[in-house]
Amino acid sequence: MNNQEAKFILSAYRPGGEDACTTHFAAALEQVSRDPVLAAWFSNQRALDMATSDALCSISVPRDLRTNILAGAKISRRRLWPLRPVFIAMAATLMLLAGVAGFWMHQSALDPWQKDALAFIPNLANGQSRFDHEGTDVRALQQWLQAQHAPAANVMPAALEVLPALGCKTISSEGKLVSITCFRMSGGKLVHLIVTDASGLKHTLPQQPRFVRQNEWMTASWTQNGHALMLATKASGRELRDLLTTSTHAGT
Amino acid sequence: MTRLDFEQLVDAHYAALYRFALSLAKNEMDAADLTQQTFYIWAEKGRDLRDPGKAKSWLFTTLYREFLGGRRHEMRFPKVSLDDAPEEPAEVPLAADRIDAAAALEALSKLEENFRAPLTLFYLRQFSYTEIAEILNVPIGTVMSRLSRGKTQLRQALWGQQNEAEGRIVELPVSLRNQERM
Repeated sequence: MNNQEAKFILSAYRPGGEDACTTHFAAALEQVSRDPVLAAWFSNQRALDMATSDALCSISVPRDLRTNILAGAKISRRRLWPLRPVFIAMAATLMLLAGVAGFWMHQSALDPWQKDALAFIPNLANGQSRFDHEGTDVRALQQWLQAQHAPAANVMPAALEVLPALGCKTISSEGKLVSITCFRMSGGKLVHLIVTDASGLKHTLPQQPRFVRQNEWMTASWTQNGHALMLATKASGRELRDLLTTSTHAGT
Repeated sequence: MTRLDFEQLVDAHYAALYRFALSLAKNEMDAADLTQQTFYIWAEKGRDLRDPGKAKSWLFTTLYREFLGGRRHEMRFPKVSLDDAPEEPAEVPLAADRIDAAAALEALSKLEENFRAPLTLFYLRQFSYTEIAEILNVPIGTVMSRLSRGKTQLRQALWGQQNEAEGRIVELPVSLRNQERM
């Protein structure tokens, strides 16, 4: 590196020494340390640069500039306010959609007792299998199941209590007794309440209904009073959710 | 960003931004407008910046772009104002230790904008030459070249001021003549 090159590079060296640790200047600074003529030039340059820098940094700023910036920013923010509800609504919609998607697309595997029940229900619907006990009164059906020492829901969604029942059936899944009670909804579609003992299940169910789509089935599963319950239907998710929005009541 | 954060950002940078704007725009009113406009743009867009450490660089870049945008508009629609009439020359420094704000601004104002912008950023000492290159969106080598040549022009302008103020002819110093040939 000759002196001309060093001068060119050092023209970008800030006079306050801010660039002292920058490697790009190392060779040029090394040249300065070796060459007294270059050192004198550099010293003069830094003095002029520092004087110019100090002068520039001493330029007074209009007294009201800061106030005007802050006041203007407030007005700008106010101008944006009418848009905010729109953004909030959009964000809420997106969150709702995401929630609904997660709500229904929760694809955690169902336990065997649930899968076996869902696989068996079509046999009841098409008559290939008969109910163990038939009747329209759900309370009577649950009492019958209890009497048979079969899993029965002593607490169930209130909406089910007013639906006409068809009957109940007990099946065995991996050695566990599972009861199935079928109901007809107002539109004619069927909904099924499946109950088993909550102990020893592969997956622990929450106390609030967890919604899972399983092929054409919409299911909601939860635990209550030592029982695992699943409500299953081929109706829409909204219809299933509506059945659960009504508070539960203690049964017999 | 909260109102407090915004105030802190303004406090940290508005003075340097104004000085940069003043060097570019050459008058206080436009400089103040540019500075305010930059912060308003920040209020609307800058808060989305992922790296808060780049706020300063973002502000200077935005101010420079606003200046360039406004200048292109001025070239199409020239503004005529009585306030733009030339003023009496301010006090002229005689030596490096007497260079004051008015002299520095006066000398800078005589430079072409492509020298004035990097030189002002350099003298504000807020940015390295590589950061200046980013703000101005030019190659690093170009920034170094403009700093080198710009300083030569600035020295000439300062000496010219000195000559005019003292009413005598002073030969350009050897060091500056040498730089001119570089």
